[in-house]
Amino acid sequence: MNGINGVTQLAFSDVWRVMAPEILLVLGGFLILVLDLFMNKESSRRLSPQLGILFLIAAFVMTIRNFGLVSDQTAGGTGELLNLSNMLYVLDDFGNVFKLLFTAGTALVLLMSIDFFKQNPEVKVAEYTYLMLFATTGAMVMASSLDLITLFVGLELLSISSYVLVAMRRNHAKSAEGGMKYLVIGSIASAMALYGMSFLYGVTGQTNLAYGAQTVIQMWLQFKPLLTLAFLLMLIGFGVKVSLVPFHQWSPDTYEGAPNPVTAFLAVVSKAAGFALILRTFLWGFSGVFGDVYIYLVILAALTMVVGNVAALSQKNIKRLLAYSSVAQAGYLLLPLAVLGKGKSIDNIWLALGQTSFYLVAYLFMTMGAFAVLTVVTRQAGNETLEAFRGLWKRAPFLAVSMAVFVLSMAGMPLTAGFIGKFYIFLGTINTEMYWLGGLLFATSAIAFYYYFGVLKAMFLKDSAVQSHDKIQVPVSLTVTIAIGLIGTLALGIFPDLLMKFLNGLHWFGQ
Amino acid sequence: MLSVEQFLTLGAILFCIGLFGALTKRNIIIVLVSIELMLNAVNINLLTFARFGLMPSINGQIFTLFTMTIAAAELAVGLAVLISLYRNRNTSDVRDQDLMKW
Repeated sequence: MNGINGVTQLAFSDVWRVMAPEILLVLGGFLILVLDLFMNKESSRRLSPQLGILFLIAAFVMTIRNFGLVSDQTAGGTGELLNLSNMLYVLDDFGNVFKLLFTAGTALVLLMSIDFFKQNPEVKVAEYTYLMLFATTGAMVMASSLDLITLFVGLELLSISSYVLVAMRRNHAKSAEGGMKYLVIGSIASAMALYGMSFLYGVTGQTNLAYGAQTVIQMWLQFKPLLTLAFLLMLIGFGVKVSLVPFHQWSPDTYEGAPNPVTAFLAVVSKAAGFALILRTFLWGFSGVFGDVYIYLVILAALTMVVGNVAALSQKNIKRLLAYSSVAQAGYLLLPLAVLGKGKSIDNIWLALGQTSFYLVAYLFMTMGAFAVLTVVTRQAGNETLEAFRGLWKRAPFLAVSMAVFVLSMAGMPLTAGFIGKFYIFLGTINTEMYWLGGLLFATSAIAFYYYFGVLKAMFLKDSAVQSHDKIQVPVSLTVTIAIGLIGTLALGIFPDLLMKFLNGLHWFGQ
Repeated sequence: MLSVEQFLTLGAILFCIGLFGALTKRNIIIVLVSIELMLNAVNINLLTFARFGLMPSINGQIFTLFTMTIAAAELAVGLAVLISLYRNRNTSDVRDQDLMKW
């Protein structure tokens, strides 16, 4: 801030320090939008995704820079977060970790999309790309804002962009149907969350979570029913976004109807953003009274793990199977937060955040890889059932082995990232002495093994349904995505300390 | 002089009517209208708290402006998707959206 005659001025450099990645992505989105008007159709189709990936990488690099800013600020010792407009928007390592996830995830999605554009000439590439960038910006706002208004705007920026992305293929009935279902249920969820926010605002008298948290503690005894209602309504609204049972019904239909890269985006980036929002809102706004409300989170987490895995058992369509599996993963991801209600010490918060982030990173690698393999295999077979994977080992060993790794990682096989992630979450439940939740985690993982083995059996044991043992051509962009997924999944599975050390050394909320 | 309870009750009633309509109506356009009703109930709540709350402040009115803008954007996208759906399927009935099940 520069003081000029007592008037303080918010310089651009101050804004840039706090929200550089967001500014870059919005700039990139508008640049692609404008360039599309001036370029001919062919070069716009070629350049837009590349430009998008370039800006995402730039945002990724700026986020890495932000880790340095946060640790400088902490070393300064004032105990204050780097923030804008009186804690409206903050810079801390919690937001940074999630921003790394969002930018990396969306970059991989755009990489997968290059092949999707070639197969679907009717899709408007530039529109698709800038909607992706804006959606990612919305996700980032959800991870770093501390004000209910800004959080809500970020949530809607992500949601509305996703509705359009799902329904992007105009002459594809399933796409439109999936988009409509997502839109209706998503809008009802937003209205619910907003209704909850309005009560939280009514009781605390402000929309800021950092200042409101104190008032929540003071008012808790007097307004317990109203605040619990606010908490539950917000939980329902956010729960729909991350597809917690019983608010998950939209996800299989939307995942099936959406184009494959968009499905991967919904499964990874949108879900991670939902968790960022849940953690941010409940850990700040309700931190003082968390012991009284955590039981609802425990119930939802348990329900989600059980129903997600059981419903996946009967699925024949591979995309629906992955959708139900991603519902189940949401249950695992909610566990670290849910068990926090019992552990009173502050260290448990950082452990829980570390566990959630580790699992989200693992989930990013395995899901992106699985969707890339699925894209190639289902296109060649012409359908999306498990039959498409029959005899894949003989037709394309590389695809079969990578799919096996991804699927085993989702189930939680040792030596893969998924196992380590689940193991850390399990340790968290032991730490806080919620043994039955840990047991449930193991039991539902066992169910998961059963339906994932169906995929493995089809790939390795059965003969191909198609007689011709044609070699499957894998486009370069998808090969790169699969390779990144494979390396990430195995590296995190064998050397988990690489990431865990980094996560443990972070100043999550700038402490 | 109306009291805070009366405003909140109006909001709650509107919200419930909206939720009921969104979950039971058969025409997608009516469903979208019902969702708007829910969002308007939120606006009434926010404005009430901005005027009568424990600590009244201008934030509620600002929040309402954002809610209205975003609701309009959401509805615009909703109608666009509906048009695309109608072109593909020739129906806007909720019960006909059954290409993908269980």
